[in-house]
Order: sequence, then C-alpha cells, then structure tokens
Amino acid sequence: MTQLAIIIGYLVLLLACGLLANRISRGTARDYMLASHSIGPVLLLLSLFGTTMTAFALVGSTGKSFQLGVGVYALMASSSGIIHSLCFFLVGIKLWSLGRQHGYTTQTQYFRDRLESRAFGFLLFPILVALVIPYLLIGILGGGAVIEGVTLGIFPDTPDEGLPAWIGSLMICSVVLAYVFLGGMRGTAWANAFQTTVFMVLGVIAFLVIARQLGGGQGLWDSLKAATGAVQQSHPEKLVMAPPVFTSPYFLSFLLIPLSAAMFPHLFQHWLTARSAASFKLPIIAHPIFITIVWVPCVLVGAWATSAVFHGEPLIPADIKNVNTVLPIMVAKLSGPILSGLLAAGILAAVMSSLDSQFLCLGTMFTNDIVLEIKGREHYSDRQVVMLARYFIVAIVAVTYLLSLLKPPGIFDLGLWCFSGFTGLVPLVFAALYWKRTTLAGATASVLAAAASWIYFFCQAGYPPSPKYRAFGMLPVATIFLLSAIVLVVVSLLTRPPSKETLARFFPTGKGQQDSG
Amino acid sequence: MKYVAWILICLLVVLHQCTSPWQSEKLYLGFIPGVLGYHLAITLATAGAWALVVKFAWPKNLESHPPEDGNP
Repeated sequence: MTQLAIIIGYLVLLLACGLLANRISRGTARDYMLASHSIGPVLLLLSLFGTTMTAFALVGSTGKSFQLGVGVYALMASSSGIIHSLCFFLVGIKLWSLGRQHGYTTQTQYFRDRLESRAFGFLLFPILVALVIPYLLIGILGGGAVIEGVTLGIFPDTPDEGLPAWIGSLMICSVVLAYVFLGGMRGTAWANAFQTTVFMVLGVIAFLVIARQLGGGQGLWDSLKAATGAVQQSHPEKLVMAPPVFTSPYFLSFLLIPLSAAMFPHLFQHWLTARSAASFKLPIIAHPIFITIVWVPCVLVGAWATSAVFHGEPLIPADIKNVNTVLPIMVAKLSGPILSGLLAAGILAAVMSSLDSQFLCLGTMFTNDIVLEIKGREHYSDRQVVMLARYFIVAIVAVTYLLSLLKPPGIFDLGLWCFSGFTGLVPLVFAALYWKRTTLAGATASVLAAAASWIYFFCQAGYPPSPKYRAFGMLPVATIFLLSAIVLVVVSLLTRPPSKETLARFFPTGKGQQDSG
Repeated sequence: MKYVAWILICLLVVLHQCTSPWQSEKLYLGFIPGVLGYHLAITLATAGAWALVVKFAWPKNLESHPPEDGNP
C-alpha cells in the first residue's frame, strides 16, 4: 500500500503543476501551444530530455542489458548523445528561427510554406499521426504494467495480483490529460522538467542502493567492484560486445535510429517554445551528459542482474519472460516499499514526460493542420482555438486509451519501427532547410518512397514484428533512409526549382541563415 | 576553430563505430567494463565537442527578424 500511496502523491503533484500553469496562462492560443516562446535554457534542457527519453531509458535499458550485456549503452545511448545534439543544432535552431519569423506551430505548416503546397500537408499529417500513435500506446501500456507490478499483493484476498493494468493506464491518462488540458505547453514543460529531475535522481538512488545490497562490501566502492566481479566470474559475455548479437553493419545502422528526433512533431513544438536561439546552447551541450547519468547506472544494474544471487537463488531467473521487469524486481527485492514506490514514480515520470508532449502535439496538429487549414483561421477567435485544441486532446487521449485496452500484440516491438519511420522522413527536413533545389515533387516522392519501403519491410518482418529482422544485414531503417534521400535528390533535380519568392523567404541571405562565424 | 569543432564531432562518430574495444576485458575503476568505459568517455567527449561547436560555430542572424502575427 505504501507504493500506491507514493504513486498517488506523485500524480497529485503533477496535477498541481498543471493548475499552477493554468493560473498564470495568458489564455492565448500561442501561450497554450507554445508557452508564448518563453522557455529558458534550463527548462528547455529538462523538457527536451524528458521528451526524448521514454520509460525505455530506465526499465528498457536495464532489461536489454540483462539480455544483451553492457553493449546496449554503445548501441543506444552514446549514439543518441552525438545525434540528438546534432538534431538540436542543425534542425532545431533553424526551425525555431523560421517558426518565430513566420508564426509556425507545427511542422506541417512549415513544409506547406517551404514546398508551396497545401496538399503536401495532407500527405504528411496522417503519416506523422500514424507514427506517433504506437509510441503513445507503448507509454500507456508500459505505465499500467509498472503500476500493476509494484502494487502486487496490496489486496489481501489476491496476493498474486496488483492494481489492474487498465486502472493504472487510466490513472496515467487522466493525470496527463488534466495537466495538459489545464496548463497547455507551459504546464507540459514544467511537468516535464519536474519529471526529468525525478527520474534522474531516483535512477541514481536505485543504482546506489542496489550496488550496496548486491556487492555487500565494506563501502560503496568495494560493493561496485564486487557486483561487476560476480558478472566477470559467471557471465563474462555480458561485459563485452560480440557477434552474433553485435556486428558492424548492425551497429552502424543503429546510428540512424536517434536521427528520428529531427522529425518528431512533439520535439518540433518544444523547440518552438524556446525564448531565444541562445536557449538551445545548454541542451546541446548537456544532453549527452544527462544520457550518461541515466543510462550508465541502468546498464550496469542490468548486467549485474545476470549474476546476482539472493538467499542462495538467482535474483532474476535467466529465462524471465519480460525483461522490462528486471529493474522493478531488483528494487522490490533489494530495497523497502518506499524506494520501490519512489522508483515506480520515477518510471511513471519517464513515461508521462513523453506522453504529455505527444498528446499536446497531436491536439495542436489536428487544430492547426486540419481544422484551421480547411475552415480558415479567421473563423475562430483565439479562445475558440484553445478550446478546439483542448477538445482534440481529450479525444486523442480517449481514443488511445481505448486502443490500449485492446492490448495490441507486439506493440513494444513497434517502437523501433516508429523511429525508423521518422528517420525515413529526415532527408526531407534536412533538404528543406539546407538545399534550395528541394522541390515539391522531390519531397513528395521522398515521403512516398519512405512510406512504401517502410510498409514493405514491415510486412516482411511479420506481425508481431521480429526484432531479429534485418535488411542487407542492417536494420531496415538504413535502406529506408537511403532510399528516401536518393529519391528526394533525383526527383528534385529533374523537376522545376521552387519560386524565387519562396527561396527569398527561406534563404534570405542567398546562403541561408545558418552561416556561422 | 569552428572547423576543429566540427572535425571533432566527425571524429567522435568514427570512434563510436570503432570495434577494437568491443572485446576488452579491462575494468575501469575496478567496476566499469572496458567497452562501457570507452563509450562513456565518448559520450562525455561529445558534450565537450558540442561545447566547442556552440562557442565557435554558433549560427548568426537567427533573431534578426521580428516575429509575425499569424498562426497561433
């Protein structure tokens, strides 16, 4: 019951964030969707980090390390440190600048202007929505499972059961909906900053407690050495990277996965909240450090779990069905109910700090890219636009929650496919920003090539998609990305360039605005 | 200096792909496996390289245009 009380207390704190943001809101659509471009460097760093790091950063990384060894850090974390900051620098700042100049709120608005086509928005919109929805489902289902896991045995009549996952998912959806509905982007940014701090601090605390308990040495240092020493004795393969799990082509193709951040619609919206271009400096530099703080402890704990013994028995059975439960089980067995409850709050923080941005972003996209685009902005007052966005957010939360009740099989394996889809669209954003010769036909062909190749590989991988599926020895994302880029360049070169007016608007100096000194 | 900063970023991408530390049995500080230590160092070096890019290759003219009153 202690765990449940801690989780409820944490959710109440989040609601307070939304209420507070609502009280100081200016009531305008720009404030609701973009926090009036008022977010400074620290808040931007925390909200961007919280948005890009899902629950996978805590529970998934531990589970994958248990399965594959510490190489998971090299595969997923150190690559993100380089590539995410690259996306912030090369795409984020530039889109922020264009967004401020031309009043954009969504990616689609930018592409419509840049490619001189209203119809292009109607092509891109459903693809973006289709890629975000599985991502949302992963968060909702994962959050429900976490609450169920940490509340096991709270009902005396059913000691093997916890709070049903559907109730946990409902609690998460309701709280996120409440603070996004009330606080809009400001509430989301504040809640993200709070949640990022919570999951980083609690992750480190859980690591220290587990190390002390597992190592059993005189001090922390001895415990750390003993915990890794045990793995060296019984599972040395978890401390290195070796084929067939790790191969060079596979490892290279994984570098493209974090590139997907350049096309995340929810990141685009967060970028636009920045007070100034200078606000990006801290996130660009500190993002890799934050990744280290979260991932290194989790990856070490996952490797330790392979060799940990508790009361003479393996702490985690080698054939555990759901590796995502490795961290919660270790915390539950090696610490008390308070830390267990706090860790659950930390995992939920990681889940909700991504969910909120995605809900808000989809509501904003439906409002701006569909309703206002079709009916005309002039038909709505500012207050009506805010209400429209709120109604859409409620509808999206309701639909995704109902979809989560169906428990679609293999949904957790879809995460990598969502990222692959976004990476397939990355040539589009880079070309639109940096290559004047990019044409509407080239962009359209590129999007269609990315979509067609994604669908082809997805069908080949079967359903639920096999995580072992490879195309040419690599993740399918490599082929999708390459195909999308080649098609964009070739078709653009074969078709008429954009008008002089458009080029003057988006490349005003003749060399683009990104000239550096 | 801006070219040095960008070359550093490219170098880190190349070093990230280097496979020689994959089989290292070394333990840094007595508890960090060799390959993890190597990639941990790359991540921290990345932060340093990005600090150089931010200092020496920061784009100009980003805020030279006043915001328009258009879409919300």
